[in-house]
Amino acid sequence: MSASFKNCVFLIFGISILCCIVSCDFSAKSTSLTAISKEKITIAVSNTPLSAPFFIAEKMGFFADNNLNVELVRFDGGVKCFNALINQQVDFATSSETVVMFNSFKRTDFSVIASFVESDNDVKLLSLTPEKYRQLNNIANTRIGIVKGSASEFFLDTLLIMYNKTHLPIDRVYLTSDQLIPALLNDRVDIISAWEPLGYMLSEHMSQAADIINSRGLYHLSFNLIGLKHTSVDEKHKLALLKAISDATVYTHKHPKHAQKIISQVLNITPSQIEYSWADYTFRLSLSNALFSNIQTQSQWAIDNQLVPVENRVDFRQVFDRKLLETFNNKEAGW
Amino acid sequence: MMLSKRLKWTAILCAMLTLIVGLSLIQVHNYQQQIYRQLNYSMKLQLSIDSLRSQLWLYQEYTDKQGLIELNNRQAELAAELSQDIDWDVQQKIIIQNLNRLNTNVRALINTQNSNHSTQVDDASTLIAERLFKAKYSMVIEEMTEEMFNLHQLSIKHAKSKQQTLLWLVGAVLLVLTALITAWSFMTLVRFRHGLYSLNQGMEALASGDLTSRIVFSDDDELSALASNFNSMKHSLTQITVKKDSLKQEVDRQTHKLIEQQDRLIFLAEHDELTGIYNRRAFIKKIDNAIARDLRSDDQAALLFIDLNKFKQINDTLGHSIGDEVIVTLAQRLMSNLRATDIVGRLGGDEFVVWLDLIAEPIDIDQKLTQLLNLIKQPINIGPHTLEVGASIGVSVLPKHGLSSRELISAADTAMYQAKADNSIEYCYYAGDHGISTLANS
Repeated sequence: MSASFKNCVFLIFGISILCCIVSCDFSAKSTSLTAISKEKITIAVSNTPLSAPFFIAEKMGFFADNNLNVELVRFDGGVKCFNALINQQVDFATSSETVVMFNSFKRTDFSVIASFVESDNDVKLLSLTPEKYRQLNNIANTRIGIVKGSASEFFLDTLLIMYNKTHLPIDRVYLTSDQLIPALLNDRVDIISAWEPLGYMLSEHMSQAADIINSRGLYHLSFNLIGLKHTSVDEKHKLALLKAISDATVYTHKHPKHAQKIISQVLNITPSQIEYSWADYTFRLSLSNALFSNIQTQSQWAIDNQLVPVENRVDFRQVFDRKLLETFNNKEAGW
Repeated sequence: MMLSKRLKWTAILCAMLTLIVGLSLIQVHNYQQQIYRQLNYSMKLQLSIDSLRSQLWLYQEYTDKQGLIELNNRQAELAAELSQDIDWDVQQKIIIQNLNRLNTNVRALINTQNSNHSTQVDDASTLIAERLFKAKYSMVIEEMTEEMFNLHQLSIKHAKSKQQTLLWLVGAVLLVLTALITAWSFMTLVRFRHGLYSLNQGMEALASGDLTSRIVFSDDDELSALASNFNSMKHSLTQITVKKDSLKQEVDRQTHKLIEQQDRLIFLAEHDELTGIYNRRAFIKKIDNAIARDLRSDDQAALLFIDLNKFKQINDTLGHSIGDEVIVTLAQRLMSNLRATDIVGRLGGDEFVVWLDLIAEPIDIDQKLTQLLNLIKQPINIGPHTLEVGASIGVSVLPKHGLSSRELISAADTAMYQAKADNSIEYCYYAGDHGISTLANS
């Protein structure tokens, strides 16, 4: 019984253990290798931190990890993204539920695949002198700058209903989103109903917070992944796309600082701006009745305000493609 | 490696195995406790959310103070439960944070609804507001339910992955350690058996008398030390055996030397120092034996008593050394001309005695006497001298002139004097019945 025999015994053990590990690893990898395909998938994303999961998936290689060849096409705002989808410039688009709601009245060839982020504090009532309006009754006879037929107007109406102030006389000044802050600064309006990053931009001009009341939780903004019902992208790739977004979401949860740094670099905005509203965002994949209810509430508001043709009643169940996310969730849970 | 060291290592490995098994079990227990705690906690959360949901529904039905108080309580309970610090990981903490945020949203909605409860304007707007709040509450609760599902799923996923990782890790470590211990023990056994076999072979070889072979060993364990000692012992034994053999050889050599010395002494005691023939004592002893034998077999024998003539003259004129050489020459002549059964001896000076054994006829004695006298009378050359001597011989015959050596020597001596006295004769027989008779003359 020599030293060489001893070495031989240890070597055999080492090799067998290595073989076990390698074979386990290989079998685990082989399942993902079956989905190899490098057809390019294009996604229209909005230039906002809300699109964070897509930017992070691209930067951290989660698309590539899921064997996807994804190209992100960036637009300013969800409306332009949606239009790019409809014009078949891209395979998928990201936009808010308001855009989905309005377009549901016009067409039925698209569906919401999943909601990937929410904010309960994205739209706010902002003023240069917020202390004057702490009592909401004081907004009577004020000029409020709003973007017509948008989340801006919906938020104001919702707030008025909730606070039972629908009877107050208000001067609605309809503006574009670019005009809101200049109008406020030039005293064309007293208050604006605006979404981020306008709140942040206004706070740069002021020593105090610009929002007149704490409206957190009264309005939910969501950003959603939308696709055409008839698309060349098959279900396997859609599932891989959801997995990549899910991976990016997990990464965002685990490494929030680095995620913010990536978004700051991608969107070329200051880290402080990202940080300003980061805590308001909830990144997660979902497609629940909450979104359904949100869209339905908004559609009712749109009908009430004659923003959409009254005769076109929409069955929003047709807008949601729940099956894909359910399949994805089941797969993730190992069912 | 020493066997005791090997056994020590085996014990250490076994102890490690026991320790790892113990630690693994503790770890498994801890993981399970953590998982149970998390699952229990999420069940409680689920119950609280359900309770909040039902209370919200009731509040929508009965918007009164009691309903509000109850709702506040449920909402506070949920908030308290959410603030509990359970051992969550990052993702689970995010979900709890979100649940907290949703709960805060519920609070904001309740506060908003409650603040305007008393200031209703008209039924239509109240209805719209209620519908909106209902939708909002249901949205939040829906999201809470969804988050709870996520929490459950995540907890189960984590539990599964943790348990699997633990199982793999513990399994791999146990497998490696047990395999190591098995291989180690087996190697120890093989070495032990091999060592004992070698020792046994060595001892069997020794038992069969093989002192040269040695036990071959390559290890440095106790059995090898034993084998080494055994080899040393065998070496010592070989050396001792060699000493004993040389001692025996020395004893044999000394004994041989002693025997030689003894023989020499016996020879010196029986023989004449000058001539090497029997001296008187030995001669008498020899003829005693011959007499006894001859008397038993009725054989005859003769005893010749020879006294040299003219020898004194040589001795006186030429010296004793020449005289001695004459004596030696004559003794040699007598010796070389007698039969093997005949005996010759020197009684001293110039006197010789010859025993002629087994005489068939008296004539044989005469012939022998004539022959011997001729031999004596032949010239002797010593250096420049040529010397001549004569002799007077007295003869006695067995059994006629005596039955013992003493009688026969005495008779022959008497006869010799007779012959010497008579210048005409050279030899003379003893005269019968102790008388003297001349048988012949020259």
